[in-house]
Amino acid sequence: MLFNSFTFIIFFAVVWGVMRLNFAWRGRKFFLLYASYLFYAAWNPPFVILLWLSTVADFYLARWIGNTPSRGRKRFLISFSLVINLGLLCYFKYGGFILENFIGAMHGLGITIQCARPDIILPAGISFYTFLTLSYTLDVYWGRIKAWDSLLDYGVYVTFFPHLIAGPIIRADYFLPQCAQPRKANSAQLGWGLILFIIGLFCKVVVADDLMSGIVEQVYDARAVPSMLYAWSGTLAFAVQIFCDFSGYSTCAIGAAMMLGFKLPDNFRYPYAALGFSDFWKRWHISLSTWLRDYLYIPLGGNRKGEYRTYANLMITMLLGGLWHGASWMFVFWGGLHGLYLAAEKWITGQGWSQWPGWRHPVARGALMLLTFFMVCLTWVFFRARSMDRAWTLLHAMLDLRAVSLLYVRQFTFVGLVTVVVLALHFYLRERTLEDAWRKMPVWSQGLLLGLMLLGLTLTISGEDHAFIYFQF
Amino acid sequence: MPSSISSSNDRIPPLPYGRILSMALACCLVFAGALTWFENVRKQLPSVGDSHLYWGLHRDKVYSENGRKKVVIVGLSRSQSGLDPRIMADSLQTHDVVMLSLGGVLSQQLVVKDLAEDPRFDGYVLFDTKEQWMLPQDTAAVASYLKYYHQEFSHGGIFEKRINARLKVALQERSVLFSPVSRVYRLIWNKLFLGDPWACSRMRADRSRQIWFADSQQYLAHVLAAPMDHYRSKPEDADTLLFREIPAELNALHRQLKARGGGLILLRMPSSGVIAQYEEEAYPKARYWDAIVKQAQVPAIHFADHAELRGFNCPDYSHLDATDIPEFTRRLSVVLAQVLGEL
Repeated sequence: MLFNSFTFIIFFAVVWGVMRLNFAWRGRKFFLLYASYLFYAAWNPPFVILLWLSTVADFYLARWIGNTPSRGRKRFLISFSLVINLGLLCYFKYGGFILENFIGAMHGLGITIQCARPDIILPAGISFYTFLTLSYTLDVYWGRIKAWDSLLDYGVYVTFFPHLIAGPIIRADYFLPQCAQPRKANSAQLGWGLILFIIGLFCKVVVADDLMSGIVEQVYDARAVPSMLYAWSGTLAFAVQIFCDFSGYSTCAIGAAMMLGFKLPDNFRYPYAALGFSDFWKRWHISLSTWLRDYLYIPLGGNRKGEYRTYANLMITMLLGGLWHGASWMFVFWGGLHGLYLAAEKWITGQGWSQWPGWRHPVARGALMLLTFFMVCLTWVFFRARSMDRAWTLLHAMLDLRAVSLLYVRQFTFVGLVTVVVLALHFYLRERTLEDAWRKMPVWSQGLLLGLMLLGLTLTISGEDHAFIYFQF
Repeated sequence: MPSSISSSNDRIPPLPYGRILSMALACCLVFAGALTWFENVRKQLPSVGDSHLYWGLHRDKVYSENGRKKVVIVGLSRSQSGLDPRIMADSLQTHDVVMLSLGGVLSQQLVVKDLAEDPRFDGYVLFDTKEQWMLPQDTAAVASYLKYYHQEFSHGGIFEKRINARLKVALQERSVLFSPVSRVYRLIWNKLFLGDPWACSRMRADRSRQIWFADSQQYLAHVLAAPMDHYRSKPEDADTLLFREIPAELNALHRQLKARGGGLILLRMPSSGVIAQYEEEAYPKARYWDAIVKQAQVPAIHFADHAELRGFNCPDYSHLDATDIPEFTRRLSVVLAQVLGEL
């Protein structure tokens, strides 16, 4: 069930209405749990069983980990949890990929293996809820939190429909305490939650799907060698599309949760205004980057094991972060590029060059922001292109000043204008919050802006329903 | 979770939300009303937007119901914009009609093959084609429709999508505001950059399309100004394919369908003017169509073979005007009924 569907509006209206009734909180939580399973089943009913199994298994494993004093037994149980969760993720998400590469590797050794690629359906949201449940069992194992007593609360935590399919990846100590007390949104939460939902939907449906996706498909899915402007228009369009699509989803999730009285964390903080790559990852998909930091980078040693080990830990974390996005060497390469950027930035910082006072000047900061955006756009080429060949063709075209053609000036101008607006908004909101900026607008302009967004949403009803890009992860 | 992770919930601005949202709704309604008026001035009609899902919903309707077999129209824009499934069903009386044609999507024989290989399908396929379209073309577009259908319609998750599609179509049938012509990208791109040649066209809920060329002289001029040389293009191996492989394929498909009580009927929709001239130059009917039909031993209806189907003009040389669709469909249905009776 997509947020941008009539069925979701009806579904949410019913859920919201029932959650507002004054019956026992336990009963309302049961209802929320069933509603979340129904939400998931709308995609593919049989996979509800997988979600349920994952939930129940990790709940009891964490409980046993928490209750047992034996260090060895704890280690065994956490290993079991890791094997189950990562095993399921590997099978469903990487099964075909692993087999393909195994066959390729054998072929390279001169051994021919004939095997049909298995047709495995990827359960929606498996990457997200697997990381979510893993964070819970690992936190219990490390003693950061106590195992929760209520399976009902834990079930709601895992399956809570606003975040179930595409995040944010919430931590147990952030959400579980919210389940302990009855929750009902007040008028401010209802109002602001609805506004956030509209803004999120506008970003996704109007900007990402209606304005940008067609251009991206034209450039990236074609076979012709593009001109420089054409290649850049496709890449900038994708940069806008993926941000608006994903942050739009997160904003919708936060808004929907708010209207139900629950709190979800920010997942994006104007990443295209980042100054450098570590700043970028503190602003892009925050729940994933903090998960990778806390459960992969730091356990590997972080920056505590010397310079070269730090670079290695960064690369491993980002390579696996890339792989999390999909079963393709393109995503691994994308992650690896970001790892390289982060490592290079760490080295530069280590030389003391970042201490130069000139960096505080607005022009220097602006230039650094644009440079960061430019470098991030280069990585998006690998994220979106269907093959390494196509990626290199586009990259080559983007950097080939001889291939400037006036043929796609209009398209580039249109995409360029939209990109400038997005960058300007990010730059303006970099050190501010959306709430502050919104509050400062006159009430009539808030109404007008929302009205235009609603109009934009109305006009996109006729379009083909695009799933959120991150649904495929 | 690190305490540095913030939440919008902690920063909710104190605002008069009721007033803001009411103003937003009012603004939206005012602009929507203005846009609806504007589209009505441009003579646009409510139109349903097509999609893989919507095509799939119609693909799912091809099976017999209450003992009534279906006639499935497969082809490109000539049939999609030239036939009325409701009129055809009323004329035939014993069969319902499903429109699966896809404008601009080549290699429709893959759809015919999919139906022929579907053990649940026992109806008739009315295949709108011509020699040029029978030759191998890019299959990516049509394959995406078939892949979507077989993937998405094989599990219970399609139930929610059906409801969503029905609600969407209900809105689109009632207001031009929800039509594809009103989409944000089209409005911005066409108005600011390209200049939209007005075209009065629409797709109905049954997936049939109508184009009113008489009301769209600007659009007609724009279409007629486009190059048409590709209508007379002919690959080197065309004859080998058209006289050997393709008739054999068509025959096999017909036999597969006939074994389940259905059949394949080839249909050549009208064309006129310079396009008809180019088509006849590249693939003379007597040499190609008649020979292919004879070799394939498949029933066929060519507009030129029937006096009642010959008199229709195609304003853009390739598609019937919306005003001619009902009469053409009725006349074609009479011919089709005879062919179905003989099968």
